[in-house]
Amino acid sequence: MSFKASPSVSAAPWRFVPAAVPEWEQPRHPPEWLTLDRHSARPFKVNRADAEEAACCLRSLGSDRFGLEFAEDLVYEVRCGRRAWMILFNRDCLQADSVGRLARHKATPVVVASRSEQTGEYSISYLALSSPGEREGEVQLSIFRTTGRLVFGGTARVAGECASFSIQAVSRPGAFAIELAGRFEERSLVIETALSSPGIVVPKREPVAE
Amino acid sequence: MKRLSAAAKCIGLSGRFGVVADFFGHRTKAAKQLGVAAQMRLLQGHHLPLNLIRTDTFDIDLQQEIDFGLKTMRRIYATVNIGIGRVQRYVVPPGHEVIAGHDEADDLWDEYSVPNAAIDVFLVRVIPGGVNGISPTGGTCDKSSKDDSGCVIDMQDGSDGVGFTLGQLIAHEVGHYLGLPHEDELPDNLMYPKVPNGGRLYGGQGGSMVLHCAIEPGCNL
Repeated sequence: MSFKASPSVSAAPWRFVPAAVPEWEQPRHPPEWLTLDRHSARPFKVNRADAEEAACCLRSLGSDRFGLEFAEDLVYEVRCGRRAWMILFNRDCLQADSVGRLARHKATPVVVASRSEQTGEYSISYLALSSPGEREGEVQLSIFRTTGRLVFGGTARVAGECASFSIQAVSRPGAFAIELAGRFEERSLVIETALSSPGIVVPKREPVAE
Repeated sequence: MKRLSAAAKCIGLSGRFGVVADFFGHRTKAAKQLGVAAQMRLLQGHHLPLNLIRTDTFDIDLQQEIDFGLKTMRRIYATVNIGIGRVQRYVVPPGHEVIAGHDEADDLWDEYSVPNAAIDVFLVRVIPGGVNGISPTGGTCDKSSKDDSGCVIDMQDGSDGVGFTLGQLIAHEVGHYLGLPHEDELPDNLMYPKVPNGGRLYGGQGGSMVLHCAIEPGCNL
């Protein structure tokens, strides 16, 4: 990364801002999910983040938070190969009955932040949006890049204050497959499956030679 | 002529080829005195192939500036005895002219790549905000991996009319791709965080760059 002679403006002023679109809709056509080949799949780690790194993440987000406030004591780290991401929980979605409310109202329960290798600063890379499913207690999960591209998604099932979820990748050029399943209960994330394909499973598009 | 053909063959050219368009990868004849002998000497050492992928329609002035930029980059890398090998030109369909930050850069190189061993350098109209280039530090050589597989260059910021800034900008981002970190304390160094800068590379940096898997061994001419 290189900087302009007088860096002054936020790096991404035109981003997709779901916080400003309270009545966002799920994609009109259901996405095509990528199936993970479990024989070649590799595990990735989801653990509680180191408190210092979590604080660094929240601090470096500054005001670039899509209008959300995050729980400072509930940050998880995802590690996959060389890359690492921070899972941040929307504080509003951690109130009493908040898990149950996911099945009744749209929400942005989680965002995922990534760290720039060059600046060491974090920025939000993914937004997990939820909306009530068609069946009682069911929640649709859609995980978008901040560019608006849907990349992961799945469903959750809410029972009392426990939400069991499973997440897959959306098929698109250059996509890799994942399988992430677990539950959220008592302010804690319990991961049961965290697997990803070793590389991309949908070929990238080829630029045209000129 | 025989050595030129051997050098061309070494960088993947076969049959009839044009010196300006194919051997140097230029699209205009604006950059004079390309230095065939110097280029052949550099190809006998470590060298680096590039894919320049435009995401926008560039007029003739910008095409010329890209050529001047290539010449600048060749000059910078030559100071650490690294040549720029074959440079191929590509274009992607509309929709990626403006890259608003690292996420959109990720989306771009996640979606597109040239299936060859060269580093993919995406030339975009503009990166809004305070950044004029984006690259991973130590980019992948396996474009089917999940890792970042390209770098993105802001043509609007890179443009100074003579290719000096653009050449530095491409050299800087490719430097990251080859594993170089920023040199915050060295304003005359190519890897100083702000571009344009002094544009210097030190021997140790060159020694580190040639260890990257995208660097090709010298041609036997």
